[in-house]
Amino acid sequence: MLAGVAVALIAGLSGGLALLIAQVPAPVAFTEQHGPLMALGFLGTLIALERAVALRHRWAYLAPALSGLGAVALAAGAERAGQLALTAAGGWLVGVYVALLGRRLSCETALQLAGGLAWFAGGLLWLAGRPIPELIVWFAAFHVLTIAAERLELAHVVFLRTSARGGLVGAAALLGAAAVLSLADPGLGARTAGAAMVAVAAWLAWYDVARRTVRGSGLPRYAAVCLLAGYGWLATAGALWIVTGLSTGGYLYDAALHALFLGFVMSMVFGHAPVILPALLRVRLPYRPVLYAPLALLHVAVAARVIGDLTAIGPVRTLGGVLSELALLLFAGCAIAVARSRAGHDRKAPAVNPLEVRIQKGPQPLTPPRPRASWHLRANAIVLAWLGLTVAVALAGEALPAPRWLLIHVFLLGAVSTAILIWSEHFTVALLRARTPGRRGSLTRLALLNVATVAILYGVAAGPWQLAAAGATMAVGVVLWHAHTLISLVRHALPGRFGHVIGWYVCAAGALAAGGVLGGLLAAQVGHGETHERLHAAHAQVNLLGWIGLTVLGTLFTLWPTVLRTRMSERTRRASRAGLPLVAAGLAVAVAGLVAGWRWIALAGLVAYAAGTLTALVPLAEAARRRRPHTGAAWMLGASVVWFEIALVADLVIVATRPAGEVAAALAPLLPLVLVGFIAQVLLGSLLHLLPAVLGGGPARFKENAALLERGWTARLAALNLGVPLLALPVPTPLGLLGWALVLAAGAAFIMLAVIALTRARAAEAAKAGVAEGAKAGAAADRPARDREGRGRAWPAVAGVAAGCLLTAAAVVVATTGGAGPQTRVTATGVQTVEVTLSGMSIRPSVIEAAAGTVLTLRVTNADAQRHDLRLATGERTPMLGIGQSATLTLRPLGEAVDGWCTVAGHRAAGMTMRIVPTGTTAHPADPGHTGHSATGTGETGMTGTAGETGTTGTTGETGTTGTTGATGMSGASRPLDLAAPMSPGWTPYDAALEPAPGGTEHAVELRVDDKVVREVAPGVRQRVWTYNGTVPGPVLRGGVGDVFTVTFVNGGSMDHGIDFHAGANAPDGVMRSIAPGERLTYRFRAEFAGAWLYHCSTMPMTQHIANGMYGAVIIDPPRLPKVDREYLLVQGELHLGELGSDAQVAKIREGRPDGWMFNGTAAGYDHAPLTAKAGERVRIWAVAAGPSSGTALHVVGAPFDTIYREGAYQLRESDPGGAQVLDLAPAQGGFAELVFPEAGTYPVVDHTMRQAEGGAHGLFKVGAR
Amino acid sequence: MTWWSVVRFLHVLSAALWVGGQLTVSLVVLPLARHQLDAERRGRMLTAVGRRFGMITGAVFLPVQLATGVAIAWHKGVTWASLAEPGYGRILAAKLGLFCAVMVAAALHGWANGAGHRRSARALAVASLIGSIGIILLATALPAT
Repeated sequence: MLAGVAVALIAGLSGGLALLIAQVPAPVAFTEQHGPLMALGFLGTLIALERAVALRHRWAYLAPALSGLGAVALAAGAERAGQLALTAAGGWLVGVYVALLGRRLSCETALQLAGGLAWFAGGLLWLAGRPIPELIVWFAAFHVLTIAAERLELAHVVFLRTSARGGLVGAAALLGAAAVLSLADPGLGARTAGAAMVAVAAWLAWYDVARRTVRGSGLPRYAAVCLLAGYGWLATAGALWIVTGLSTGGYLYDAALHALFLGFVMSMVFGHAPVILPALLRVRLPYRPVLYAPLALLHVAVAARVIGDLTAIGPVRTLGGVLSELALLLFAGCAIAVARSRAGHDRKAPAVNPLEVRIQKGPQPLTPPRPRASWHLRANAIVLAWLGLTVAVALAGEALPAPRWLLIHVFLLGAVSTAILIWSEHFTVALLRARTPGRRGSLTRLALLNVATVAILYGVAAGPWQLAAAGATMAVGVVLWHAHTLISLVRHALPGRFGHVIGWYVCAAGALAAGGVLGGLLAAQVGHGETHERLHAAHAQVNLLGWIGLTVLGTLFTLWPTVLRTRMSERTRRASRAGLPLVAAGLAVAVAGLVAGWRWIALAGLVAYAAGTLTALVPLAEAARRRRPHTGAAWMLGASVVWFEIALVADLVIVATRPAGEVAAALAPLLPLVLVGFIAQVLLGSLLHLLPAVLGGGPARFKENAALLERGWTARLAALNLGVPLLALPVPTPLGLLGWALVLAAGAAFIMLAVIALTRARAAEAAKAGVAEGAKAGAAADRPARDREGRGRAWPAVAGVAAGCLLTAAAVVVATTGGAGPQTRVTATGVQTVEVTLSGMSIRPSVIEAAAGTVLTLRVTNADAQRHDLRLATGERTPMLGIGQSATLTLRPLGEAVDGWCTVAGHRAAGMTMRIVPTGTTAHPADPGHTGHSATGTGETGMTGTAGETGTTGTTGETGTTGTTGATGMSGASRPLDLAAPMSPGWTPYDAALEPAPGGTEHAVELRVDDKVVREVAPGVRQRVWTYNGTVPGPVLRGGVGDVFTVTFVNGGSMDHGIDFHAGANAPDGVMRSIAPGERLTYRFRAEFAGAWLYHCSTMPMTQHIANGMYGAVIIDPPRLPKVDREYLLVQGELHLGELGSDAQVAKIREGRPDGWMFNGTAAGYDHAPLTAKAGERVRIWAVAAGPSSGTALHVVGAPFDTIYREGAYQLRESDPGGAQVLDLAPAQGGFAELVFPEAGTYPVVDHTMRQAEGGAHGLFKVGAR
Repeated sequence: MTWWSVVRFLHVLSAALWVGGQLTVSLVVLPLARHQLDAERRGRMLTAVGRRFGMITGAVFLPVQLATGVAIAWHKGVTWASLAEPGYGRILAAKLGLFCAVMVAAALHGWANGAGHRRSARALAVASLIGSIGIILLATALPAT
């Protein structure tokens, strides 16, 4: 039985994985039966087993045995037997329940009986041939009823009034009714079931004892958390079912299903396992806090899965799926570990977990809450980490995507925003003398903000924009929550002198909320051209002036007098009250003006903002007059305010003199001024002042620390403030570098002093702790001392981690900086000898320029650690050069451009290419039709056979075919394909089954070029292909007439590529342009016409780009397209073997001499992985001919077509008396044919252009009996 | 499967032993010792662990690593000049540099521990651990060709 459970679990999990990740190999039975395996095979067997244990009759064990057997059969591919056994198990379970009911008549057993009946009924329908999606309601009813009843029984939800119990019975009845209803109308049934699920969830959440036990501790609390989270998912699933009706297909269906079966059911399993497992396996599973880990992972995973499904973002749903499988495995692992570990613990403390003892016996007094300041200190570690990352990003420079953007945002969004979040709350509490708000809330906000920041950084720099937008939304949410916390602090505080400051913090938070929204819009690429620029300008202004500016000003009201050691001006409060509305309103107006493009409104807003800041600065200036700044902190703060004002004035001028669309670009040079002069200086100044106070240690220490930190402050101040203008002004490069040096030196000096102060403080504290420990013996005194020691102990670790990371980072930087070697250009004149060096998988110089007619001599030296050679396209070649060896090549007088490369297998692909060009021509080929793309310097290999390590010299023929002679032995077209040969192990066919169109009329897709993939294009033949998203053909886009497709096209390849959707109507100039590697464009089209459309790469030479795999299909369903039993898509393309772009291959493409023809990217692939159908089923075969030069005459041997839809019109309808034998498509045409297979058998599907069929345009339909 | 794969195997195995040992000590042994032993026993135990690990480092890890590393480099045809070349040479050079730094940190750790500078010893131990993980990172970055 348990073996059955395990088989079901493993098969179901690997099937699920294979569904998500195409590369994971799994038997077909695993993937097709993923649902039944998990729902019945795994969970059903567990439930049946548990019931059997409860009944304590031997015959009852037949139910789990049957379902376990059924699971094994199903996984082994014996579908029929599996169905039978599983259904029988359901029936037997009903019997078990009847017996239980006979023993004791109770509501819960009756409910469970109903659940068992649902299983049985669902199984019978399954046997009757109903498709699984229509049975989901039954299986869901089985699970939900069984679990609800189990809660009634296990948790003893006693003290229930009958009326309350009636609620559950009513909901259960509704669920049953929904299941019956689904027989007639699956959609309506599912919606009703959804409503019932919501009702059950609400009932459980309300009456379950979990609501009370969640406040407890230990196991009850853990179980309660599981249960409540599960109820949440049940409600979510119900809502999804109501909305989608389970019928929209595609990902929505997945979301609805996994919210229920993963979110709800698995959470319940997790919660009950510590209770049920002992009964089942006679293994005790004591509670350990580690059990929370899989639980948390599960819920994160389900959330990711559901969100990924709903938004149709492939990577997110894959991630969710993989994580949830991990969560299950992790739970299993934890359970085993916990059960095992019990033995050891029993000896010491039988029956009770030592951890619990400590929790219960160690109430509050022994672990005093740590002082607030310490918490803030530690939270500031995050800020420090972000600062470190900022430095790393600055050092990494161009190696990262979007380096400038990343640098700014890592600093501002990571370091500065985190700091503001921490300190504005801290100051608020301190100023208001308020009760500190819940630490959990603060920590959550901090964590959420950091998660959001990471999402934004990743989303913008690398990932899908949705991630960035989600991050921005989250950040806005966090900051609004923060504002709300501050407001409620003010509300609950006694009126005080400093309440006015909080207004500034709240307004600052509001500004970030606005700025975050704008940032999200920018990330989502809403608006192009000028709109984008305006949004950008508004985003920068509101964040810098609002979020940072307002916070700083608000803080300065109290900080400035303290720094000056003078009392606060009487006018402070009035100035603050007057300034804030001006500033806030001004900023709002300015942002609105910038977004809308009203220059003068924006200017007026900014003027108001400036006036507000001046008002606010009046009392500060007064304080400064009263007491001249005399400390480093005061000077730095003062200087930073001056820079702020300077930046503000410059900003005013820019906004006044330029249209809103150009403001953002004009502001860019100001950025260093604001970032360094204002923000960094404020940060340093405040730290300079606050650090001695934070470090504490009595007046003497305070003075000592202050003196230490202030050491040489005048020089630092001067350096910093001299550096800032050098950074901001357009000065020559050396001066700019000097500016950076000055600024960085000033910063580094401070950091060094701060670190010294920190270490000293730690040492002093530790010494004191030691004294305390020695002086006061006894347990009570021991704890705080050890606590402090614990905190002290963290510092060496942190220092060690920092040192280790620095060392590693330095080593990585050394390792990866290669100098500008590979890009070197050498210009040669006259008769010339050029030194050519082969090393590090590159040839230097990579480009040699010489006047036409120059006689070049190349002195080639192999300076690498392995053997290389150099071969030129004109035929000259060096021998294979050992390490350190040299050879000389003398070229003919230079005519046209000549390519050179290393012939060792794989080296050309790795970048060992060079090019000799006559002066005046570019390094890029002038005649792409002739030289192909071999000139882009990336090099393309054809075969990636298992070439030997050495000695694979290029075979050269008259045509110049230079292949690495791989083991696969494909050299040009000389050898015909062996289509009957087996496919390599691990090969997975392109899934020809066509998914129904996802719901909705807007579709967002990301197509990413990958032109380095190697795929098996014919049995045993692997070849590099150029692809969209790694597959040939690229992903299928499907929708209805009028749907809008937004395609984010990313060139992740190594050369220029483009894309052309035949289904859209757009001017080719913009969206179909070729883009360079690393670039992206958004291609938006409305599919106005139905049909099967081709899309393909639009970069010249298109013959090559299409022939090498860059094509795919867009299916736009004709209106009222009837539903059929199965839909397949075959995209036919030519196969041209050989090194991509080599003369031989190009010649074959141009002359139309393919080596083979492929359905969906593999010649004869579906001979080896036949398509399936059942006799009597209506099958629709969509087809698109990708060419580039040949079309198709699609024919199914043995079954005529009764429907032909070709190029937007029905040629033949089912009702017509006639039939059709061929769906004929010229290159780039598309359509579909429908047929009904008369009886079981194997039907070839071929291109009836027979030479093409025999060349691989051939597949099989395995038609099973009905 | 040639003798060279045996040499590589020894190199990787010994590296795994050393880095894995450090990780085990830091993540498993130390926290448990801290929780379950009193100060005196803890000190004794940790000293013993450190001594034994140091012995393994000196007697097994270093000789094996140096010998196999040099052999592999010789087999690959690495020369002093090629260490400066971008690519394989540069990464190897960085890796060697980091290795030296880690060894220095480890040695200093042993000294600091003996001299009673517990904090510095701990910082050095962590730094050496992180550094050795960095070495693995660089090792994986070495092109396989």
